Amino acid sequence: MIPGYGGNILRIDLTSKKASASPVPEQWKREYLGGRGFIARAFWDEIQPGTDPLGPENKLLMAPGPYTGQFLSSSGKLHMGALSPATGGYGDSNMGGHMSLELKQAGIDLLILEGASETPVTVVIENGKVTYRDASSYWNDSTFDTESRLKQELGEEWQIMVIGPAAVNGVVFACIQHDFGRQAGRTGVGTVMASKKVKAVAVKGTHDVKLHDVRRTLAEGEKMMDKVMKQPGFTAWQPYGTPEVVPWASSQGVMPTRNFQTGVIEGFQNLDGPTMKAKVTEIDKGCTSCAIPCGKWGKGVLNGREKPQEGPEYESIALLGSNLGITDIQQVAYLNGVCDELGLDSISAGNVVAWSMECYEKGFLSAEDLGRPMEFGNAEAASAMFHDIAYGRGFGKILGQGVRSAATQVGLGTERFAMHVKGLEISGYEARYAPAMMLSYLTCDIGGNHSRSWAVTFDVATGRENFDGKAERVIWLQHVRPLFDALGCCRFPWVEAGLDPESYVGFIEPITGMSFTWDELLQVSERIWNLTRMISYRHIPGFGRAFDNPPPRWIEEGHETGPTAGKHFTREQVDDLLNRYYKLRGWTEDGIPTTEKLEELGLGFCAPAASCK
Amino acid sequence: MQVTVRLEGHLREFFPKLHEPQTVAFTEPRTVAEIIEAVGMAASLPSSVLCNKQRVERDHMPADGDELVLLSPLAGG
Repeated sequence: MIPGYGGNILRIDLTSKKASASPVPEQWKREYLGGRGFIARAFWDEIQPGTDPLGPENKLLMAPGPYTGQFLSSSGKLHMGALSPATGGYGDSNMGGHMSLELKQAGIDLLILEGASETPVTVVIENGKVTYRDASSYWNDSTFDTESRLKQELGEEWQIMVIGPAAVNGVVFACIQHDFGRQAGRTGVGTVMASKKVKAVAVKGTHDVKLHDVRRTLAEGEKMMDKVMKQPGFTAWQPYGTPEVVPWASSQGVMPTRNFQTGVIEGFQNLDGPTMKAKVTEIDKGCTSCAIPCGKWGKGVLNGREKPQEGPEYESIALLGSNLGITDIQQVAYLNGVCDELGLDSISAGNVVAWSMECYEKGFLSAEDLGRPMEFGNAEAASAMFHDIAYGRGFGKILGQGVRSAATQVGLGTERFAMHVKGLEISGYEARYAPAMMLSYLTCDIGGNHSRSWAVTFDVATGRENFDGKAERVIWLQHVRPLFDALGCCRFPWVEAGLDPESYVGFIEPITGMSFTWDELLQVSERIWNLTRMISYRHIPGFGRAFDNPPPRWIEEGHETGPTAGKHFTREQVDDLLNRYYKLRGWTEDGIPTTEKLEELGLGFCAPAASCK
Repeated sequence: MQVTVRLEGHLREFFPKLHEPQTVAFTEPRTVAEIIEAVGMAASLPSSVLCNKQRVERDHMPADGDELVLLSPLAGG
């Protein structure tokens, strides 16, 4: 068996309450590495076309990677995936914390939750042995209460993932939370967990993970830890975490403000890292094996009421702060705590509430329609709406189906400012005059998300009006950044602390015994990228170029203020960007991988699906 | 006077000539913004600037022999 892995696929059928373990195919390790790679590969085999995302035939997949928990900095990432109830296509998300290592030490490289329990349960996994606890009495409890309860019942040494009321009540952008604030937030993986009547998954693993060369792994890891902690980027960035980027984002006109109506916000200084450190943060909080703990634990405050929470991260500041017209970091932290306890993805939740605020501002919806006046800047109204969304009350029930669905229901032209790609609400970088960043969103495999390719700096550095090199950059980032998700580690030491990405190659052989060059690792990532594209093609009728579409606002109106005032690209320019991208990828003009491309990447098993539709 | 300029993160990819730290010479003191522009970059592009490991604003005036570190913006979060 190839070392560096837990060893098994653990399949849990919630309908029959039967569990079975089988070895991970050795070929998968070489061709997909782990994490996101195992998720995509298993997705293709396990989830068939025509599956209802909230039906028992959908499956929730979770996978650590070969680097998870090893002696290198920031190796605590867990990846998960399912057919997304938010988009209907390939969905995945990942989170930090300690669950990833725990699963691996329980002997699990891929956890498959399938079927659906009749009654709410907590799934308890101890070294691969599975038992169930009745979760009926706390099915609708908050995430924090549920995790606290299970820590008390099972013991502090257990690692626990939970869902909150949002998932239980069918919100399509519900999270899975772990470690009191770490979220697998995107694409509704929490909603899928709720559809299986699983309130929580508790894991304890005590197995050793065999490595190919322990001494060399340790030596490489020590070298990396030392290097990370001496990087100037580390000392400047770590005290503040991701809010460090707030002033830059606003100064460049890329900070989404008032439902992406503009990209700059007056008072951004009240949302930046030093302000958060002074007013919110109490202590740093990190993941397994991390030398650069970016998590910040503290309290949010709204009208004298306090709420303990982790963060907010930049994305939450952008979507719960500037995008709602709120510039008080304590209020933003409070709203972040509300989202976390309810189990709402703060990116999508911030988007749908911002859309409702713009509908109110422009007179498309009244206070009576919405349950209250929804002015931009009103944190109380936002908090109340988050509760309505999570519990399915009033207009909150409509917002809980995502901004694409809400705008379709309301009509009246509100679709123009429903900010999503493929049905997934756009994350915290405004991109109407940032071609590489826009292309990143349009072609991201899960929808409007930043994590696959973050290219705003490239746009600013190389010229926003210039398209040359943009598609090449996006493709390179779409291979490098998700590679970390396949390896099971965090990319912050690369971008944030300044390590070269190639320095990660040095771990693969000592951990697994497999040898890869940097280019070979990137080819694995390209394989996974084409596979996830094919998954959405297989599941979404008519999938192709028409789904790589910007929100109309981005191609119809410029910002009123800021460094890019009045600027935006046209439909024809967006098509030009997509043409360049598809050509470089070896895809058809409709954005589908060709049979030749699939075969070149060892994805011949997808080819019949590509040719028959 | 001489100031050493060092790039971190993605900035090193965008400005390959500055992949390694570069010492720049001036006849008169310059602000951080002027020094950034002198090495061929928009002064607003770095997210933060450190001078001898201390965070400084763009109007800061480095002394002879100081080291400037230009940090790339965070990429996500």
